[in-house]
Parts: sequence; structure tokens; C-alpha cells
Amino acid sequence: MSFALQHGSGRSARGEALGEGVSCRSSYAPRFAALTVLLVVVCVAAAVMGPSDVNASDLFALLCGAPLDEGARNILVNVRLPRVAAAALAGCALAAAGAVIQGVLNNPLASPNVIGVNAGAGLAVLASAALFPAAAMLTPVAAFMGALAAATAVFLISAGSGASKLAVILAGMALTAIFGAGMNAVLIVDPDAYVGSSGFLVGGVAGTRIDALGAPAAGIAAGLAASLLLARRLDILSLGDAAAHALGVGVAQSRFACLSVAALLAGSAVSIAGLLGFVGLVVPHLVRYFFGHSSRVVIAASALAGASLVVACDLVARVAFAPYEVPVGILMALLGGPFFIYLVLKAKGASNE
Amino acid sequence: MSGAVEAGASALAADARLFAASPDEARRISLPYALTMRDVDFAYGKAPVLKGFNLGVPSGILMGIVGPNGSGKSTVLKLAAGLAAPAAGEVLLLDGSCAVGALSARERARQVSYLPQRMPLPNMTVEELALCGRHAHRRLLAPMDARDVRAAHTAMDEAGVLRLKDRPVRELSGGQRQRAYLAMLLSQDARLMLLDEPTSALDIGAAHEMLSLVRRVVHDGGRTAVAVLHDLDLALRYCDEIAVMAQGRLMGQGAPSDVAEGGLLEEAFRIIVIRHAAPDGQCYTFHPRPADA
Repeated sequence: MSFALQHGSGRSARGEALGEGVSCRSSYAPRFAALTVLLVVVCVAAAVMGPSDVNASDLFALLCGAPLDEGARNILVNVRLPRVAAAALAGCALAAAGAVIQGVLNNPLASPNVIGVNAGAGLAVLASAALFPAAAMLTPVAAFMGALAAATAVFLISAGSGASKLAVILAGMALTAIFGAGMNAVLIVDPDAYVGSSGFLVGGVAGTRIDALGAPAAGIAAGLAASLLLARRLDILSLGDAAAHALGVGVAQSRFACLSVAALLAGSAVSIAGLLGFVGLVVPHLVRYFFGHSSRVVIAASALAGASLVVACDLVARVAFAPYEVPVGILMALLGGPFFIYLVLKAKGASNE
Repeated sequence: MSGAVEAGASALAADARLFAASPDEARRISLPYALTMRDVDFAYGKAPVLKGFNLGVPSGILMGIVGPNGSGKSTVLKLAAGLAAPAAGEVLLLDGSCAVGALSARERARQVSYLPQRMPLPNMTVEELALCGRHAHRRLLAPMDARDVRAAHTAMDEAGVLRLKDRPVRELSGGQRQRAYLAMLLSQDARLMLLDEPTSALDIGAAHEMLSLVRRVVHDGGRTAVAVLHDLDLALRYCDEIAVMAQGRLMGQGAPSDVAEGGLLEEAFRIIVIRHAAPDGQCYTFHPRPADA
């Protein structure tokens, strides 16, 4: 009799909590509000700080349509705000792309620059600029195609042989080297291939023109929306291919759709800011620390945090070493490189899973 | 082509009948066979795994599949789950009315659920894992609704993990983890559940608990389960029917006592089976054959 009782103990909770309805999961709203406030503060700071004399009241006047000094207006509209917008868009897109790529490859070391997606986009941008110098509107399209080609290559490598996580990263680095050689080759043949932006190869947003942001911004908006819609599949894919298949998810289609979306995001970012590295690697990790692992939440929070990070770093790169200016990509690499090494060391134990 | 459409249509008709009925009625309308495999051939590359394999799984039972290593047990589940397509033969659901391969991924997932032997550990709570089971029931882009949450909660309750719902799956014991995965399968609400060695990573106590739980959800819930099991004692104790496989073929299937005493196990595993009286019926022990046999 006691035997039967013990076996029944698992059912004693039956019905206990069924009436509670929707789960009492802790709310994300305060954390998202904090990230939004952070982004606004950073953007305002980046708009008003710098060698030229512009202050917060000028910015406020511009936003409200109130009259303001012509010089201040000129600096805000033509220099500072395009630059802030470019940094925010690039950071947002790269961080979201990183969150998607880490999810779809189930690999914490992956990010658009580490696996060669940025380099693929960069090569395509330079090649299209060299071949069709007049067609500037081709740039975002070329960036997307290049990013997609690189993402597909990495996907095939990772799916083909059951490669370990580090092997995928190494293959991505090899791709990065190949695309990098291609970029250098283009620049040797046609040194003027990309004059539009300084620091394309390390990533920078100096000299951004507002009219160049329209198409990438549209791509980023579409990519963000699509990645949020695909997030539930990313969660299910983390259960492994067989389980995901049995749960009714088309595994190959879902993975390819997610990688395409990541390529759209990363390609758009590269067409704005060049080969800006490590945003997509660092930000999703920081976000998971504060927000947990639900893909939808991680992608949304990464987008906000990535924008804040790149705007803040660009501000520092611009102001800290005045009168010199450093491309923001250099600062990102200084931050991200050590973090990547830390992740590699941390993942060493788990790499052969 | 039209054959597939017809099969799909009759499957949907059977579905409508079952979903319209109350749970009690649904059990009475139950179809004679939940899974039928006819003359199935399957090979990985050039190595044949199944050759002319036949199996009928009656509805409403827990069926165990046993057999020596490499006899193709797991492959049978993969074919039934639609993870692979047979090179020849048929894999049919719903009393033979529809082929697994003719269903879309979502339709199939509403009919068959599958627990692989090994899965990467997800970064989810038990509740989030259970909600994954609802994927095939949700519209493409629709948010989760109260019905999904209720189904997941009922499933966690049935699997005895409702108290653990906010715990990360990573932090659970092996037995709790398997029950959490079972909750995911239950919230998927498929009438046929396929379990690939659900007890292989568990200690003997947790293994007994897991299989008695599976037996209960099968019998109480009008479901059918097929479990590949390594442990013959567990298989004979908990399964309603046992299928014995060897070298890619079905050697026979039947009630546990018939399988144990009819020589099937002895032939498949080349062992000697001895029956003992036990407090709760009978049990069997398994012994090597003498070397000269």
C-alpha cells in the first residue's frame, strides 16, 4: 500500500495551480523602459557634445521647430544627427543580427563579424562600388547579398559535418580572411572604390549623409520585425533538430529564414557603418545576463542596447581624443576583442558537445 | 498525388470526429491501430537498417520495442515521427488512413509527438518548455493565447512538474527533466507519442517512476505510446505489448508474458529467460547461454 502511495505522490499537486491562468512571469517592462531611457540619454549627449558650440536647448528647439541659430542648425542637421542616427541604426542591427545568429547556430561565440557575414557584405559593397560607381543605391542590396552568401556558407559548413562549435567559428574566420583579401584586392585595383565613408574597413560613421540612411533603415526595420516573428522558432530550434522537427517546425527552412534575416540586418548595418565588429557578439551576452534567454526578449533588448552602445562609443571616439577622431570600430574592437577571448576560454569545456 | 490528398482528407475527417467528441467519447471512437508500418525498407547510406519491417500498434496501449543494439529500434521511431522517409513500404497513422509523409509539419505534429534519446539542454524554464509543445496548435504569427497556457499547465500537472514550472530545465534532476520533456509532449496533444529510450539516463527508481507515469498518461488520457526500451525488466513490467526486433525485422509482438515465455527474447538476445514469482505478479531474470549452445 505504501508503495502505491509513494507512486501517487507525483499527482498530489494535481489541480493545485490550474486556476491561476497566465503565468506570473516577472515583467520585462521596467528593464525595457530603462534601456529606452538610456538610448535617449546617449543620443542627446552625442548630439550636443563635441567641439562645436551646440547645446541641449538648440536640439530641443530644432525638434520643436522653434527658431534657432543657423550655425547650430547646420551642425545638428548635417553633422551630428545623421551621425547619431547612423550609429544607432548600425548598432541596433548588428546586435539584433548577433542575437539571431547565436540562436540559429546555437553557438555563443558566433556573431556577424566573427563568422564572416560582415566581411561578405563588405566585399560586396566594395565590389559594387568599384564596378558600378554611379549606382550608390546598389550599396544596401549588394551588402545584403554579400552577407547572405557568407551566412549560407557558414550554415552549410556547420550543418554539413556536425562540426563542433569552435570549428564553425574557425571556418567563419577563414571566410573572413578570404573576404578581407578580396576587399584589399578591390582597393588595390580601385583605391577610390569607397570614398563615401572614412574608416570603412574598421567601421565608422563619420561623415554619414542623412539621405544614405533611408534604404538601410527600411531594411533594418523589416529585419527587426521578421526576427521578432521568428523568435519562437529560434527557441524551439534550441531543443535540437529532431525535437524541433517533431514539434512541427520546418528545421532547415526556419534556420535559413533566420540566417537570411540576420544577413539583412548585418548587410544593412555594413552599408551604413562599414565593418563594425563585435557589437553583435558582446551585446546579446550582456542582454542575456539581465533579461534571460527568451529569444524574442533577447533580440528586442539587444536592438536597444546595441544602438546605445555604438552611439556611446562613437561619442567617446569622437570626443575623448580631441582634436583627433578615432573611427568607432577601433574602440569596439578594443572592447570586443578581449571579450571574445574570454568567451573562447569559457566555452573551451563545452566546445565538444 | 490524389492518393495523398485523399489520405489527408480522411485523416482530417477522423480528426474532426475525435476533436468534436468529449474525451470519454473520443476514447470509444478510438481507431484500431494508431501506427501501422508495412513492408518498410530503410538504409543509412548503403547499410540496410530495416528490411521488410512490419508493425501494428493498437490504439490506447503502451507498446515497448526491444531488441539488440543495431536492430533498428530507434529508426522505427524516426520513421514514425517523419524524421526520415522509408525507401519502400508504408508508415501509416490513424488506422492506416494517412501516410506520415503526406502530412505537413504542423499536421503531423498534431498527430505524433516524439522524444529523442538525447537533446541539447535548453535555456528554458519547465513552463517555457511545455509551451514549446503548443507550436503546432498556434497560428503562424499568433501570440500565445490562454488556451495554450491552459493546455501547457494541464500537461505539466499530468507529468507532475507543475510545482517546478518556474525552474530552469538545466537545474532539474534527470528524472524531473524527463518528466518536463514528457510535459512538452503532452501539451503537444498528439494521440501517438514516441519515446526513444526515455529511461536510459535515469537511475532505477526514476526509471520506474517515469514508466509508470507514461503508462498512466496512456491509459488515463486515451493516448498511445511507443517506447524503445533497453531494460527488458522495465519493458516487461510496464508495457501492454512488446515488439521484439532483430536485424531490421520484427521477430514478433505480443503480451509481455507471451513474449517472455514464448522464446522470442531468448532468440533475439541469445539469452535464457527464467520466470520467478514476485509479490506483484511475476518477474523474469535474464541469463547468458552456456558457451557451447
